[in-house]
Amino acid sequence: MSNLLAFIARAFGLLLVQQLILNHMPLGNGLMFAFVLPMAFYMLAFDTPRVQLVLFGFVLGLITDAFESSFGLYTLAFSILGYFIGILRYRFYSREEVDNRTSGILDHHPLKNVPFIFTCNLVVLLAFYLIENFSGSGVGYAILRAFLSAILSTVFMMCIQFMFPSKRIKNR
Amino acid sequence: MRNLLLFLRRFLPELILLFSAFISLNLLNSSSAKHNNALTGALGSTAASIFQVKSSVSNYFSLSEKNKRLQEVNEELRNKLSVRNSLYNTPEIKIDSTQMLRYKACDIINSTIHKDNNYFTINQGTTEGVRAGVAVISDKSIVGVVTHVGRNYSIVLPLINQRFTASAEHKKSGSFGFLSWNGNNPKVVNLTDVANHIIMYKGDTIMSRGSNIYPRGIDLGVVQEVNKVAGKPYLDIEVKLFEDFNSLRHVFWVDKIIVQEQDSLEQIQEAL
Repeated sequence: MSNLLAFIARAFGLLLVQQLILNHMPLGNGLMFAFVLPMAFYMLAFDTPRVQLVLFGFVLGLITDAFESSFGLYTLAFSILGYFIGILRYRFYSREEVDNRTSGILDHHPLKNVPFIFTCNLVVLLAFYLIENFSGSGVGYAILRAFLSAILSTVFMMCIQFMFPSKRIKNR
Repeated sequence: MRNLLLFLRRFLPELILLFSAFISLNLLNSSSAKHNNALTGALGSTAASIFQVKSSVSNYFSLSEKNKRLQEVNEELRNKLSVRNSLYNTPEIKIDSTQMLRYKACDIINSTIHKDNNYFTINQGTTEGVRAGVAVISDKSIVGVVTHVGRNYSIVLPLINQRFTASAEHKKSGSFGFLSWNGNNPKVVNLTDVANHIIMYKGDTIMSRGSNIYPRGIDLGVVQEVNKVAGKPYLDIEVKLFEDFNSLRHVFWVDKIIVQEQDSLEQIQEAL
């Protein structure tokens, strides 16, 4: 339950940042944009079962779709992200770290999280652009946009993590 | 039940993801014309592929029926052709009007091909008008002659029986000889008693010569090997048959109507 509440609170905050600020500053003539909303998931990456991750993705996707009037697009992209976080977290972090419920991803130094966050960003943005494109043509352009946006989003997330470090990092 | 629960527990994230994808695609389908078009197209082509497979499967299972129908049509056409040939016997079209034939399609229901004296059983007998001495042919070749007739079945003495003989001729030269089988290879028969001054090449076609039993001009096979018979003025020719008796299933029995009429008249004359 606490997981859910924390998720909702973070997601709501990030949603506001995304909607009010980042969506109004597309870069490269619309080629890429900073997408920080998935950070709500990354905070849950360590101590949340896979099923819940997919369900949270589904719910957050529906809410975002309601804001964006793009029914279904974010729902599917975030469900896919939730599913892949459950798999990718064991690739980038040790099993002890992931299964230890006393620490979270934000307790790591921001730079240590870069590979995981970049990969997850790439997954969700690839899903997003490919679903948006939804045809055989323009796949290359969609992949390019996803790649550039994933880099930009990762930089933004690192900045957020540097600006709002967790208590553990502060204490070190 | 326990296994089902274990399965659900194991694959619950995947199932939720699928459910989510289903809901999302439905939402996209109803809210975006672009996605609607793409999904309709994709589903349409998938459905078309499924229908194609379904159609192929049902076609496969109805092959037997179609085959039977084709046989009937073939039989009908052959009969029409036979009548037409007898009607249009003009100087331009050289047709032997004595070859008025009646074709009837039937199936081989039992056969042997590895014995010295092979035989076939066809699924028609006196009920359908079969009589001893009618020829049996296939689309490619002469098959044999009916020797015994039952009410519903008949026995055929096939070309690949050592007791079988038939007259056959070299298509190019018109020279003829006797066709027989030596009991070895069911794809090869021998043509004997062809005069040795005849020039014959490998690949030349051999056809039926025509008799009271067999129609004339049915291709039988091609010359495979030509040997001179020592001390005799004849050639011994190996003929590779067009027909594969191993896979032969559908045949026709052929009745020479005029011969039948001729036989009947002769019998009446003898009785007087």
